[in-house]
Amino acid sequence: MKRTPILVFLAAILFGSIACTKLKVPVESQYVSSNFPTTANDYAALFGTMYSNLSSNFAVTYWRMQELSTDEAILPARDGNFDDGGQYRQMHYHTWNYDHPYVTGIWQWGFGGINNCNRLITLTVQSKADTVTKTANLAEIRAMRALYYFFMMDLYGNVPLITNFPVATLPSTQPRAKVFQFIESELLAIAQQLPSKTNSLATNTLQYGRPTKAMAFALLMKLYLNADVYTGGATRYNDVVAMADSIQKNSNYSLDARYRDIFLPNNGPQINETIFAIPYDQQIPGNQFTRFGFYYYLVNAYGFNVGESIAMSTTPEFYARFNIPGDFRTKTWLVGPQFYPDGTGGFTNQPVYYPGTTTQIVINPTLTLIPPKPMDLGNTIASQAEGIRSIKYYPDPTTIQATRLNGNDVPVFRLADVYLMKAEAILRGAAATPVNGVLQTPGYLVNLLRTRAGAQACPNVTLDTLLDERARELSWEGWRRNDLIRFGQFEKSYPLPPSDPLTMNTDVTRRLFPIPISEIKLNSNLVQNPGY
Amino acid sequence: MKSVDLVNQLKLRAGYGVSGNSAGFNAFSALLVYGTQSSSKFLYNGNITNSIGPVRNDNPNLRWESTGTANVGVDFGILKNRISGSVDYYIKKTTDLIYDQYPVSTTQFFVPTYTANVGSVKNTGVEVVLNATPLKTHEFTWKTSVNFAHNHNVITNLSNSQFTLDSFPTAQLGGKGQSGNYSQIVKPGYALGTFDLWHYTGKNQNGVSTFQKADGTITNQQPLTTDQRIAGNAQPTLVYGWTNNFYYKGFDLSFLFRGVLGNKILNATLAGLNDPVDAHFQNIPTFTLHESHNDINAYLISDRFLESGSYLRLDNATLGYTIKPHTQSVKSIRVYATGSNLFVITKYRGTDPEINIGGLTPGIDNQNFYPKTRSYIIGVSANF
Repeated sequence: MKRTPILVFLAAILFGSIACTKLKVPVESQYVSSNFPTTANDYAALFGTMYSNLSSNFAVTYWRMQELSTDEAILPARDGNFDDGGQYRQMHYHTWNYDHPYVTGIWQWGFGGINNCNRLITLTVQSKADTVTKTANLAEIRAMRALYYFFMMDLYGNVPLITNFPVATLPSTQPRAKVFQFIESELLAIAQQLPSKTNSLATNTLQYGRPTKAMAFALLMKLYLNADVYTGGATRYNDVVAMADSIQKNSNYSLDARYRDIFLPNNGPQINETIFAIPYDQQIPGNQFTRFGFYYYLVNAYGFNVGESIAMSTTPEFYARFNIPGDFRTKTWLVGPQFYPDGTGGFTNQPVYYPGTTTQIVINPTLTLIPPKPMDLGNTIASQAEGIRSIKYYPDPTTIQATRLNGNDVPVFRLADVYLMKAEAILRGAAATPVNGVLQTPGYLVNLLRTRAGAQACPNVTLDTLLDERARELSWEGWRRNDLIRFGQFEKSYPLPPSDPLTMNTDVTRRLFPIPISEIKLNSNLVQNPGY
Repeated sequence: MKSVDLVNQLKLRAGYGVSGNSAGFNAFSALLVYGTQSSSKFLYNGNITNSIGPVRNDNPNLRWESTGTANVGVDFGILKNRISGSVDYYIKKTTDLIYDQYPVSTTQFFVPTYTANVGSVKNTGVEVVLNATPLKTHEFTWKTSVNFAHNHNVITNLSNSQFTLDSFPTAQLGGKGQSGNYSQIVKPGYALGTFDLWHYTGKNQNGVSTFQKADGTITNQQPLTTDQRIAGNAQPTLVYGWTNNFYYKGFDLSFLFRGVLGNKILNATLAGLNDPVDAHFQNIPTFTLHESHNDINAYLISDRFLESGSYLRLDNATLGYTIKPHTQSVKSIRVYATGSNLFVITKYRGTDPEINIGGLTPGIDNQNFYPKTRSYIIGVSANF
């Protein structure tokens, strides 16, 4: 028993020495900052966050902010289904507020993306890669950051400018004009360091979905075309034309022969006119155009069997523009009696019947309100068949019930838009310029697209016909809000028959979305936009 | 003390201790962790590839939270221990509280939550236990015991050198058009479980629910999150129990009452089902029969659905009879009948007021509670 105190003493020393030693075990079971990123594959996976984040919200939530707020898309409720607290109806009537889930979600999406890019810049600068790789990587990241910033500036206007990571103090709101300047200077600084589209499919596959020179130029065109809106100052129409011509210097961009191919489920780097597209796939979620915008009873006729939502369509007012003889683009809409598709974008003479009947499906363009629920059409078979459906992002037959995804990549910038932007800039005062010896007048540019679509030529292009041509060519591509604001038509309302109890808030402050209140609570240096 | 016959036992206790806690946080809580997010696939050179990005903000300054507890108590027994009991008073202060969902601005961080030591919380309370044997004769004994507990919880601070939020919202309950809404607030000066809700102001002439906005005006539209106001608390002022045991010859009878007083329950279950416009295709509570068909706001979670959570429950009652047979092989046989959860007295409109009152978001009934069953047992037990 005499030994006990000694043992206790030894045990105390032993225990004490362990407790006092700093525990340093290298982390092996998890990716943390001490072991990631190290290899080239690590960096590729890391840069992938810019793209996976982009695709996660672009074609649903971001798209809805840009489209449901216009005549181009509408998502009426069906007896309470798809009311969802009024989120779609608030878009239609411009009655959204700073609590709206898209307003909050897209802010977090955009600034999460921006902070991610800033962090990637820091990691790239610290990396052991060679100078050539670093320069290319930094240009890629800065181009993506500029794109995220463009989305935020276009939606929210006055937003903070964050260019470094970590961010020591809470950033303050900057005027929209300053954000415009930043995006412009960034793109001008890095455009020449970005790769060009080539005539090699292998190279184009590697570059697909990632920034190129033409992507930077096209984004600059969007800035310059809307410079008046964004900065409240000088117009930049000559710069629009200059950028359009920079893109056209690369002869690897050309209009594809068939309009529908651009948007098919198997679209990809083989599409000649795509400048920047967001790749989607059954494994890359985020494209749900068929889920929300198709008509459920037609699925078997289109070769698949998945229960789709009966909801999203376009307004009859918007569809009325698809009235040009021969125009293939009209066939991207489903309206009237329905026939089986012929596999090449047209239709056979075989009617599509409602299951178990000989009643042909007829899609009714008119959206008729059934009170008392707000912006609600009721949920009968007849009311489900109301609303013109889009099959521009053609239904993907590999879709499955569990995810209801489309594999169609969604273009952000493509050559047709470049033509239309150049035409508009000329109509607004810029000088027409020749490309490859051909003087590109607005009429010439617009009719390139008319010809490709098989439509009658346009004899006299004005700003009004140009806006309608944009509607036909670029429907559901996410630019309608941007276009209507530039043309001063964002406040035109589209009441639903027979007598719409709700009216659009036509205040021009709605041209900017509010800063989400949840973000203002977390960052007191943010300033709410006027009118909210 | 031996000379005092009245008092059999009198003991004064006092204690103080500080303990650390990092329970619920793993070895990576302080580190920048990379991983794949729910939507993390991208196309790289024609191949669908996993992107790997940060899923946790790092906090190199993260440390243990610590709790200091001071306790003073008295144990006593008087009248030959016919009456005994204890009274305890405690003060418990927890500092450097670790919260892994501390909201941070996405203009500053890429993950919108942060694991941080933020703030401190103080609990003070009294616990009383009294045991008595009011009657004891050769044939009849009555033993009774009551306990009371009162706890006062208050958030004392929510800031540290890096973060200075004056409050943050909790209890995101969902519901139509309310997916971004929170129903409780964590705010210095208030207890955990403080409700922050829209204020219901009755129905307008068309039968539509109306609410008061932050500027004092009344609206028949869905209000904004900034129109929410503090509306009561989920923590009871008193938790009590009362046990009785009676013995008469071979009979024994015992029962236990218990309950709480002074707490609020948010009946989000009722709010969510209260949608008269949808009555033609979904079941509705009888409560909804009194709602107007025009009321498109009826389901909105507001203080209309904040109810008193006080209740008294007869938790258990047992009647038994014991026979002692005159044999060596069986010492005793007891026949008994027990009923559990025999009745509840409460004004609460939900299925059961005894919902979770612990954790960060106490006192919420949101279609997540299965009511207690009532059971009866008749049995025989024998000792050999």
